[in-house]
Amino acid sequence: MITFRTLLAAAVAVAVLGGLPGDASSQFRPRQGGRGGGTGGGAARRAERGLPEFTERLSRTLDLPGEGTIELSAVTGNVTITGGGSAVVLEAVKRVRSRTEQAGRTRLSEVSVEVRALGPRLVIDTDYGRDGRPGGVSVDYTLVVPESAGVIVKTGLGSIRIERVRGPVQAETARGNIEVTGTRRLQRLRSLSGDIRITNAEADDTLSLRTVAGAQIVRGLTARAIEAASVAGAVDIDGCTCERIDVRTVNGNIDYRGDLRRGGRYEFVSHDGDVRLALGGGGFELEAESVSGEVRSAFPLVNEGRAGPRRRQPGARGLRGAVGDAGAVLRLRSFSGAIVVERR
Amino acid sequence: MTCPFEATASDYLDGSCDPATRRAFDAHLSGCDHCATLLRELDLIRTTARTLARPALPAGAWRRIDAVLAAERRVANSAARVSRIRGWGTLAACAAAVLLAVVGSQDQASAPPEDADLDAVTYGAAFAGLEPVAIARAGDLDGDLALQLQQSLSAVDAAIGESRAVLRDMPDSDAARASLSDALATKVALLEDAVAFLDQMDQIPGTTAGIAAGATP
Repeated sequence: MITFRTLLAAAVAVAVLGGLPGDASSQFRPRQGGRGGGTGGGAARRAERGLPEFTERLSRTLDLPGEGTIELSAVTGNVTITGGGSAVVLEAVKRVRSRTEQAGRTRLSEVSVEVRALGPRLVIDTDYGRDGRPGGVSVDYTLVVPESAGVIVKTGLGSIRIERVRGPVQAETARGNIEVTGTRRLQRLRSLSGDIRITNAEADDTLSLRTVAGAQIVRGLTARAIEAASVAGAVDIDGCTCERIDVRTVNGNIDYRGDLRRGGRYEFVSHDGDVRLALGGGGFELEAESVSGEVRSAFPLVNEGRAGPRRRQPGARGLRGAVGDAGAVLRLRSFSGAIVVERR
Repeated sequence: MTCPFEATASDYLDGSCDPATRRAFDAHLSGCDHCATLLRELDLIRTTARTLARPALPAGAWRRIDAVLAAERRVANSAARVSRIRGWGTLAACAAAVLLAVVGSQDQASAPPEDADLDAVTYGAAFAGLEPVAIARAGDLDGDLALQLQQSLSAVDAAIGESRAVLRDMPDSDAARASLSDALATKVALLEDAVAFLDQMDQIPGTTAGIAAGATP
C-alpha cells in the first residue's frame, strides 16, 4: 500500500535523483520493505486477498438545499453518484479482510461516516478511527442526489463514477478511474494514475482534465473550453463541440475527431506522442511543426508555407497554410511524434 | 514644461488629436515660438527615424517571448496554489526548490546560455527565495502509484533532455524551445499535483497520516 505523503517524497526524490535523464531509473526505486511495505506490501496484499472479507452497510437519507453541493472525501473505496432523487440517499459499505470475524467487526465498528450540513454544503467524510489510517478498511459510497446538486468528490485509492448530475462537478482521485456521464456542468477532473472517461456531458465554462499516466477519453462533450494535460496518458476526443481546446501530453498520443468552430482556437501538443486529427466541417488556419516527426495533412493548404524550424533544420517538418475560410486557428506541435491531419 | 500646449505637440504631429484640439493648437502655434520650435524638432526626429534601418528581431523572438510569458503565468499560478496548501508549505517549497536546483544543474551542465536565461526567467524567478528543505521522506516510496509517478517524471526529464540536446545543435529551433518550455511546466505541474493530493488527504478528518495501510486486523 502507499502513503499519500510518500507521493511528494516520490516527486521530490525523483526530482533530485532522477532529475537528469538516464539517472532516474537506476537511482530511484521503491524501497523494499519500507514503511508501506515496498514490494513486500504487494505480497502482503496478495496474502490479504486470501482472507475472508467482512462488510458493514449503512444507509442514510439527507436533505440538501436547492442548488446545494455534496462534498465527499474518502481515502480508500469507490464512489458512485447518480442524479435523480429529491433528497440525498447515501449508502456506504465498509469492507475489511481479517483473520478473524471478531477482529474484522471490531475494526469496521471503528470506522464511521461523518455527515455535516454547512449551509448549502453537505460534507461527507470518512473517519477511520485509531490513528486515522484506513488500516485495511475501504468504504464504498453510493449516492443518489438531486439532479440540480453540485458534486465535489476527492478520493485516494478508488474509482469515481458520476451520472446525470446537473450541478457543478469536480472529482479527484490518486489511483482510480473517473467516469462521468450525462452531467451538465463539468468543471474539473484529476487522476494521478487512473483513466478519465467522459460521455455525453456538458461544461458551461472551461473544463480542466489532468492525468499523469491515465488516458482521457471524451465521447460527446459540449463545453466553452477544454484544457487537458497528461504525461503518459493518451487523450482521445470524439464528438466535441468546443470553441477552445488545449491538449498537452509528453508521451501520450492525441486523437481528435470532430469539427472546428469558426472563431475557435485549437492547440494540440505532444512531445513524443502522435497528434492525429480527423476533421469535418469548418475552415482553419493550420500551423503544424515537429522536430523529427512526420507532418502531413489531407487538406490542400492555401498560401502554403513551411513552418519556421524547417527553414533552418533539414530534419524538421512543418506545415503552415489556410483551409477554407480559415475561420479557426489550429496549432499542432510535436517533438518526435507524428502529426497527421485527415478528413473525417 | 514651459507651455501647457507642449504635451499636445506629439499627438498633433501624429494626427491623433481630436479636431477641436487640433484647431486650438493651430491657433496657439501662431503665437507660441516654443511650441512651434518643438513641433519642428519633433518632425525632424520623426523624419530622421524613418530613414534608419529597421532592426530585425531574432528568429522566433516573438514566440519565445510568448513562451516566457505563458510559462511565467503558469509558474505564478502554481506558486499561488502551492502557497495556499495548508500545512505542506515547507514540502511544497522543498519540491519547488528541488525543481529549481534540478533545472539549475541542467542549465549549468548542458544548456546553451540563452536557454539558461529563459529557464532562469520563467522558473528561477518564481522559486527564488525558497530554501531547500531536507528530503527526509524519500525513502518511504513504494507502490504502483509511486512507480507511475517515477516513470512520468523520468519521461518529463527525458523530454527536457531531448529538447535541450536539439537546442544545443539548433538554437533557433522554435519547436524544441517550445517543447522545453512545455516539459518544464509539466514537471512543475506534476510536483504541484502530488503536493495537492497530499494536502487533499490532510484535509480529510482522521487521515492526518494519509492513506498508509495498517496491518490487517
